[in-house]
Amino acid sequence: MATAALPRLASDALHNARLDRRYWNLIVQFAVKDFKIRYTHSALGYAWSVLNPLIFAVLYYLVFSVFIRFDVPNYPCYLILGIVVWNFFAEATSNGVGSLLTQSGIVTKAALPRQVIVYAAVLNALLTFAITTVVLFVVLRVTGTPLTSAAIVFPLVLVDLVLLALGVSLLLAPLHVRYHDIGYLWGIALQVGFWLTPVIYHDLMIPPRWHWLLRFNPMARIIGHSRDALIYGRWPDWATFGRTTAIALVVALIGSFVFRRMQDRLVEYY
Amino acid sequence: MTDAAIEVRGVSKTYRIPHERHTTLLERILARFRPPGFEELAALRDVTFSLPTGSFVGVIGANGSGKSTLLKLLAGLLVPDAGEVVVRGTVAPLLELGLGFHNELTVAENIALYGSVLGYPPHAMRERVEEAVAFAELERFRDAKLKSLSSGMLMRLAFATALRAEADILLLDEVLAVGDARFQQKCFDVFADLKRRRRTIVLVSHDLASVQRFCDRVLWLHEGRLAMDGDAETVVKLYLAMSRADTLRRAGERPAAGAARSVPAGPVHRWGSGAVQFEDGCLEREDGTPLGSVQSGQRVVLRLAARAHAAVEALAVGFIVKQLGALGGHVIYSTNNQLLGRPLGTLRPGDRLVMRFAFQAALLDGHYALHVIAASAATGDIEIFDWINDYVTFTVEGSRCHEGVADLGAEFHYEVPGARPAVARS
Repeated sequence: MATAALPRLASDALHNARLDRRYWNLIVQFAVKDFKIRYTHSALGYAWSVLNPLIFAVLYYLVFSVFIRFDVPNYPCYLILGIVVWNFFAEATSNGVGSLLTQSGIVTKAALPRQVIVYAAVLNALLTFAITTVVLFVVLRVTGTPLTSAAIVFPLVLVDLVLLALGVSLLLAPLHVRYHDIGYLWGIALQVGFWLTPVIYHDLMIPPRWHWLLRFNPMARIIGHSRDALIYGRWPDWATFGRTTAIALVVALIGSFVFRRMQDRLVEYY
Repeated sequence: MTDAAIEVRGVSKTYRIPHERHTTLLERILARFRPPGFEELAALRDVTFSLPTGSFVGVIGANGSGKSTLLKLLAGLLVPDAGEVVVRGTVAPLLELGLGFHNELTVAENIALYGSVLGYPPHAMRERVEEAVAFAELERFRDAKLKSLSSGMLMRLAFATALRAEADILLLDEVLAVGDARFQQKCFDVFADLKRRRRTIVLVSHDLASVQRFCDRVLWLHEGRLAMDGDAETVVKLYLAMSRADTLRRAGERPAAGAARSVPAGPVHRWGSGAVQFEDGCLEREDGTPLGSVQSGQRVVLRLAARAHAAVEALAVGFIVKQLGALGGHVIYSTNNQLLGRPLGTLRPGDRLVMRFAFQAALLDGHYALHVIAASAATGDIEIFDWINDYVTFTVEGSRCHEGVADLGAEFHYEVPGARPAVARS
């Protein structure tokens, strides 16, 4: 069953990925448009992309390091990296899951490959992520955390991260059109996920019998790999890293499969 | 067969419309345990046609006859339940103007975005943006945010962008009624140009005058079926005739003989107290013979028969002429027997009256409708006995001019003051 399904899944993923050049152009345009109009009518503009994670980082630092006295080494870096990566995932998926509905005007009137809309939503979050990454590197610099050669793993981790976010978005976006519950459910899932993922606290604070929770949580794995690469200068255990990639890939394949199955009748569901 | 740009073979499309009439919470909960009820709505039934490359095709039909569904199938937005849709070439579906326009972006940015949605090639984008800005006559506003434009400017911009879509096949849904008369003329010129460049165009419209003007061929959809497929002239005429018969049937009357009686689809209604009711009516020649289409300037007679069902004093019978189509809606002419100085006496119940209005059809080519009215102004308040919209419709042909509604019978004379006979020069 699994072996028969796999080529099927792969062909769907390929189908979704194979797009005419002008559609890639369109994806970029959609993403940039949303990015441009996001901060119109605000005085600080793009600074909000930076301020938001910074403010929360300071807040969490105050609560968990000063008040509750977590003893995590290099906590500012630990914290900001977790927040930046998690925020990207949260923004990309909530953009992505809602994208077909928010862009219903275009989806129901223009004969675009529908995945263009979802890709653009994720790319839009990636643009914000690019800005916050700058903050991240500033914090690393200020705290004197040295970047080692292991940092080159970070882009690979990002590939997994984007695959995961795309997979979730492709899976849930068409379902969201049909059942608006999906939107609310995903909002809750993100809240739950945030507290079940070691963004604020350290993995070692979790009792061993709960460690399986981390193993099956792709975001915990991705954030862990990111910290290894950028903060601790540790090369990953490639087998573990491979499993992370496999999880992200499977989510992306399932997402593509469902998306492809649903996209033909999408217009009728609105 | 291979040069067909669009082939539609045995296509059917059915929508499921779920019944959602759960008013109370309990009903809603109970509904979860019942199989959901739904109604099937056959939007298209077994439609087959093929359009060669370069054809300009109109799709007409009453509301809900499946026109938009057909267009969405051609655009690839919907998938047919049965049959096959083959489209050869790139398609620009212009089902809605200003798709994806955003108020916070500038005019130029919006064109670039809309252009991408419609499939402009990226390399030609800059040039096309300038072209569209120029066509919409918005050069001054090129870098202004969209929100500072008037709604008319917005429509012009949307249309200008849409018409420059570089596609083999254009699907236009009811987009003609845009802009002022001058801009409309410009758009018509673009249509003519597209036609010359052998683009395949499918136009869905209620504006029969435009359909007749541009389309070489017309598809008439009736309740999801392809009722007729043929040259524009014939199909539009039959469509009008058929709609008229349909309206009369609905009004509980039998269609009378006479080719010049036909009515377009639309909100036709009849109202009044019923003290006097029209029983028959048609346009005919002055010698009383039936009339096909009306020659521009011809004298015609509107013959009306009415019956009184109550005692009526100072009956006024009149008619209103309106044009159908793009410029339609306004009254071209109206009169009644009292205005014409021919008052009618008292009618007793059961009296039947046959009336003739002779008038000159000084109209330009197009479709026209007559509303007929029987009323009384005897008591001071006007009482409407019977008012029927679009009671008679007719087509005028053979006018010497093309723009406008009325033939004012212009004549042309000229002289060259002070000029000597040409032979005097050498």
